[in-house]
Amino acid sequence: MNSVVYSDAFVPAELIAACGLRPLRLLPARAAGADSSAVSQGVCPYAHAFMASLAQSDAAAVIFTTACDQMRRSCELLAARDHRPGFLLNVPHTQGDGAFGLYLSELERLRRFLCEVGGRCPTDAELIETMARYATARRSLLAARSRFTGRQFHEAILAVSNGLPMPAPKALAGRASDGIPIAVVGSPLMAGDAELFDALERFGGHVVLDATDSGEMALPTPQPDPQPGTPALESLARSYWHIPAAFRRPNDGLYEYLDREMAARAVRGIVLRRYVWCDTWHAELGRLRQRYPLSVLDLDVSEPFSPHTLTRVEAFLEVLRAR
Amino acid sequence: MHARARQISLDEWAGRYEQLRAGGLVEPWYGGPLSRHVAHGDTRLLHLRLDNSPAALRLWNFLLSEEDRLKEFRASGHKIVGVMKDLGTTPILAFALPKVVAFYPDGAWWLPCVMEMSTALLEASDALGIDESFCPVRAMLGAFVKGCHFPIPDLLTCSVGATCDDFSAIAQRLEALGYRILWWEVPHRRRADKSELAVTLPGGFEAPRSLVDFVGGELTRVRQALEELAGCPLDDAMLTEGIAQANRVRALLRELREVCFTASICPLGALEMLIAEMLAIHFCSDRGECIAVLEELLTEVKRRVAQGQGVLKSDQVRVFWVNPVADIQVMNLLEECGGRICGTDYLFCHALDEIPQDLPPMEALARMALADPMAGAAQDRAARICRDARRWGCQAVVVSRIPGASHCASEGDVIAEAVRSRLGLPVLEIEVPPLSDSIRPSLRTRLEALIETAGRPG
Ligand code: SF4
Ligand code: SF4
Repeated sequence: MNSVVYSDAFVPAELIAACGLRPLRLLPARAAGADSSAVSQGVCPYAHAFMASLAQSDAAAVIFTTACDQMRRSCELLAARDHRPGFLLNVPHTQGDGAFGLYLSELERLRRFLCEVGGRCPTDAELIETMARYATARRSLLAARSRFTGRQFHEAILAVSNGLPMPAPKALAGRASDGIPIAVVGSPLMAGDAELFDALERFGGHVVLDATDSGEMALPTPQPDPQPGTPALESLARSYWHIPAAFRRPNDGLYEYLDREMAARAVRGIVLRRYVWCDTWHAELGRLRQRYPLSVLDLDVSEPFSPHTLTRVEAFLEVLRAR
Repeated sequence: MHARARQISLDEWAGRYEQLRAGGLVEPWYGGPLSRHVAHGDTRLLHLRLDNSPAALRLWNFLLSEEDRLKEFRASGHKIVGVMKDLGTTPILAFALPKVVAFYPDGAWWLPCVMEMSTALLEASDALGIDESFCPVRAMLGAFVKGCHFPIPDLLTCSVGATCDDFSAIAQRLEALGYRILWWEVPHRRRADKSELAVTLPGGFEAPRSLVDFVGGELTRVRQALEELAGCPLDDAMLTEGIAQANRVRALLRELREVCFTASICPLGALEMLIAEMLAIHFCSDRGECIAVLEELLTEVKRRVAQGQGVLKSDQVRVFWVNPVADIQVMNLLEECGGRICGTDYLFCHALDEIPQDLPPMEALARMALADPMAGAAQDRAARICRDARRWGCQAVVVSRIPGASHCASEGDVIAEAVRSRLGLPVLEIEVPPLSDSIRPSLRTRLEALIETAGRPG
């Protein structure tokens, strides 16, 4: 089965799967983006590594979104460098009715694209069946959250998003469920970056909320079964439309989500994990500090996880323990 | 009054001003000697070579008095709208209403340069977590929180979607501080699929009908908010009149560019041309006066061309300049190195195109908004740059990167590659910070090398 790579959470994996293609949310490898000259010129390390990782992927097509300027422009680079078809999904930044209509029409356009690149056009019943399958898998995943370590849960989210079975929780001994509850917020992780979760838990924290763009926060909201007469695609669009995201304008939805989930999980510390040049997340640092009476650790993770970062993580938890 | 055209220092302007006054110079109320702006903090003027015409004097005074003029408007009961980011569209909706005036808070972009960092706007922005990894437009955030440089608007609008991340993130930070913003969407401009109706936009780009309709809907939301602010409806006749005024400014600027870029001797320096072009967007805070300023400038330029006068040598190399410079002094530097500006894309070339007047006004404005080169692919922007550079016979292209700007990371390469492959011209990429003094020697060397390469026969 041909796989189709996609760049962020606003691309519905179900739609790709319903077209008979394999959805692949690509979390790029750090090594692939090691060309630091591009990064020093202002390219986001994540966007850069994503493009570099595509070279190693045999995907039949690539879907980008307009969630940020850097990814929007990356789609253009693909056309210049790669023979594979690329698709740029217009994800509105505002959230009015008109903007939702645009998103829905973009999903319709995406469906046509997927059919053109080797997929088949699903019937409404097929799409509904695929959506139900994904919704069930996500429900099971969320129900099992407390049995996973931070890293395992992050990896399980990726697996389920890619249509794979949920991995069984393992290494429960390493789980620090009595640790200090931490929320990790920010940019998507690169492959291997879940080391941050391990470090937080090793030093006495417990990652109870993964509010990164590749974490729990980025999962679509489960929708009730489509009402008779409501097209399946619209129902699908609605479930993705309300994903809280830093790039939405205004991005109050992000803070409503963080307020609610951090209170419910008694979070005591926040780690903002962002890349240099990611303006979208960088600009939220001041607001996080202003809004929450909690320690906020600002981690610019443009470089691989370094001893210096490790020391900062350790010091952060020491401070939290002392409070 | 008509001294021979030349560029002079601010010191020399003092004597020139006295001479003009003695000769009967009549100025608008915001006129006066340029040196007074230095007393208000605009110290960069001390380091610039300025055009010696009364028309240029009026241009500078107009630019540097926007804050005073906005205060006057507020004092006379006008509502003030801060239109952020969209570069040319929403102000037309605003000023078409009675007693509403619009301006771009984005203009604070230049304050760290013009005031040579004395105003601490960047520090204020730093304190809010918006540091130097963002574009210099972050000075706007500092200006809001310090409450200086412009009156706080009664309504703030901001376009988002296919815009830079810098501005969107900074504006969101601003909103989080309590400044309410009406966000409206300009989606990424794409070509129409086979099954879609295509619409040709001003400037020649194309977009699907559905995207134009969507933007029309977004502008309708802005229109409604403005009507509410003004307390009266904005009908199509008023809007048509507003478009006509904007087109008058655009026509003057197109003619000014044409005359300057095609003259055998450069009749007006790059610095004044940059300021004049900026009025394509900043005219909204005072349309009538802006038109008068541009008419006077155009008359002066035509007079000089007719008399074979100019401010530079006749053999200066013809350069196309991409992106505005954070430090305006670099425009002087290019000329010192032997170049002259014969084509520009300062990120708002769509604001120079004529807005269609044979269409319903909201449709025309929607097409205009989507024509923004930044809303589409960098390839589209590069194509327009190549077309204009060829048309004006440019011999070299400078891509001036903006520090921190999200679009500059990849766009510069696309533009440079297009220019080299399609036009075979030399391209120089530089980055210009708000104050370039410390890198001036290296900028000079690189510009001189470009000019030498471009000017070499063969
Ligand atoms: S990390 Fe930020 S800048 Fe980079 S691709 Fe993601 S949203 Fe865009
Ligand atoms: S200069 Fe570029 S990055 Fe800065 S506000 Fe303008 S478009 Fe955005």
